[in-house]
Amino acid sequence: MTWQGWVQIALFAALVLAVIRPAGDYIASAMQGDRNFLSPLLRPVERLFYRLAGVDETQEQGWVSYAVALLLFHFLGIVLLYALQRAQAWLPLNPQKFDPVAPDLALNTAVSFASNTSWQSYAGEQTVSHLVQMAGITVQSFLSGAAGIVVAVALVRGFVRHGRKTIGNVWVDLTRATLYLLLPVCVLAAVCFVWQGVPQTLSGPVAATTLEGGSQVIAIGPVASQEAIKLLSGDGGGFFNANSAHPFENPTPLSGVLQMFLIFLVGAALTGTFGRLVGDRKQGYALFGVMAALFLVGLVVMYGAEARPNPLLSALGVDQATTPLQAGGNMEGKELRFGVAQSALYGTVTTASSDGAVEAMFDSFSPLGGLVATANMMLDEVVVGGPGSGLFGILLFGIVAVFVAGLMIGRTPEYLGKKIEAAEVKMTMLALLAVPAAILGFAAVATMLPAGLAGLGNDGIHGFSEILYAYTSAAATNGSAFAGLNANTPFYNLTLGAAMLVGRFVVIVPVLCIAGLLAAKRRVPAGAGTLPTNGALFMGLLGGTVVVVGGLTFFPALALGPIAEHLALFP
Amino acid sequence: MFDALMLALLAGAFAALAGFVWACEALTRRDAAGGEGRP
Repeated sequence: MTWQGWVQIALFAALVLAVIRPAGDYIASAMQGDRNFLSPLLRPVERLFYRLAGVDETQEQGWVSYAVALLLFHFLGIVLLYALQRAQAWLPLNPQKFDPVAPDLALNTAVSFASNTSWQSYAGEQTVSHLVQMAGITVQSFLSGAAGIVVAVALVRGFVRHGRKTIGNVWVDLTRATLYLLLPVCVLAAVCFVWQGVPQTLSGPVAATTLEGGSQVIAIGPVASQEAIKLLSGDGGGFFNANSAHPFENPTPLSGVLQMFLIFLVGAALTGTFGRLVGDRKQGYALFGVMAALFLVGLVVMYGAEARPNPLLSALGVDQATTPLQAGGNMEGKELRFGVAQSALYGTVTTASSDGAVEAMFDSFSPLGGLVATANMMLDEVVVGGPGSGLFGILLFGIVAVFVAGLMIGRTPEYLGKKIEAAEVKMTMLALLAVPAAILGFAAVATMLPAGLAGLGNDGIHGFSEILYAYTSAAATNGSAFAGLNANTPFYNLTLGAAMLVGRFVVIVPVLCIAGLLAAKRRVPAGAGTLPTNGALFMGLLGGTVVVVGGLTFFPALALGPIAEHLALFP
Repeated sequence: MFDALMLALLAGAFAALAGFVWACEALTRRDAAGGEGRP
């Protein structure tokens, strides 16, 4: 580890901390429909959309109506993206004349982007046309990111409201999240990426002659616009197969920092939104404090693991020291432009959030580095998390934390003045168990079937880690790949698609149910037995709950994969 | 034919999710009718 690495990490942390309050306040005002500096420009557009769609923005929905509308919206989005991929050969903006995408791969990709996962079993620049990238994948990145935000905001409304049967209007919420938040930030970010050298063109690939006289086809396209929403929405699906390790997606260390900032922006800001909407900023800061502590632990472990030399190479006499002439440490799978510190930071950011963009290959990380990446996702991505999913995920753990505290003193638990009773706890457990059930269930099936083992790039412990990582990434709606696993087979395309559906929608439905339950309740005044949820005691309890639940659930699987692999380094 | 199979799988998955919404609603309605819990 170097001081320069820590300075870079400190600067990134300062950048994120600086925006929590202003960005959180902006999101709160935009989602409430308050007037802001973009209203003169965007309010007429918003009203036009409602008029065209026949939406009455004053008409609110109960949680069942809200959830069914959201599911229907995603179903239609998946069908549309599937159809675009299957018909791309006959549609415009296909300069490379790509054939239709295979049915199982098209379904996997459609589910992947509509569920905010962005798992990619395909190589973007070799498989899909510009039209599919723009009108299919990029559009779903916007909409799935907006969907996460609206679910989180609906849950916060549940805490804020009392005696109400409604939690908002899903069409209004989706429109506002997209129009006032995602679109403006993406326009700015895309311009910044173009400034840094990211292509933005509708042209086809460029044919070049190499210095050796050979020919090379260099893919380009509308990359910058897709890059911006790929990061901001927590989607993470790249234009190129190498994702942000590709110099056209992430040309400079500065673009790398901007990418990480965009990945954390909405997830971190929503804790500020939470504090603002519930009328106590400390509530939001407490949640962010827990997220930050868990993030820091993961970062220190990953950075420390990657900065150390590989002991097996040391035994062969390979010089892995950090000197002015070489980065040192475990540089396998990492970009020389970014080095160990930024690769470790990016790796922690992208797995702690639900983004899944990568600028280094996790398959080549040390076992402990791979462990951190996998564990971050297994914790339901509550370490800042994706847009919305991080906030509603940590609030689910918060409900468990106050429930456990209530059991300790024999009192009905409360969170922000709302009694947490049997129905809320049941829904919370359904949401929290869906992801582990999908990860462990599908991974177990894949390790037992020839179709699952056929995709492996490595045998033994590392092969198991590849399978475990794939289903963890899918069910946690992250989308990053460990690499090494050939997942473009009917078996993996369909089972990973199913894991994504479970990990996204079987979680969202109970969250909306909890929102409806809480909104209908009366607020009870805080008493002597009320656990304050904005202080250090609650933060410790919440962090402990996340770690214990995650640890108890996944430790046996991790022991068979990255932990065993780490121990094997020291025979 | 494969397209029909894929879309049928997708429709089945979302039908199951719609059933899950109904089940959650039924479960919570039953709990709500059961009382308010301890003071």
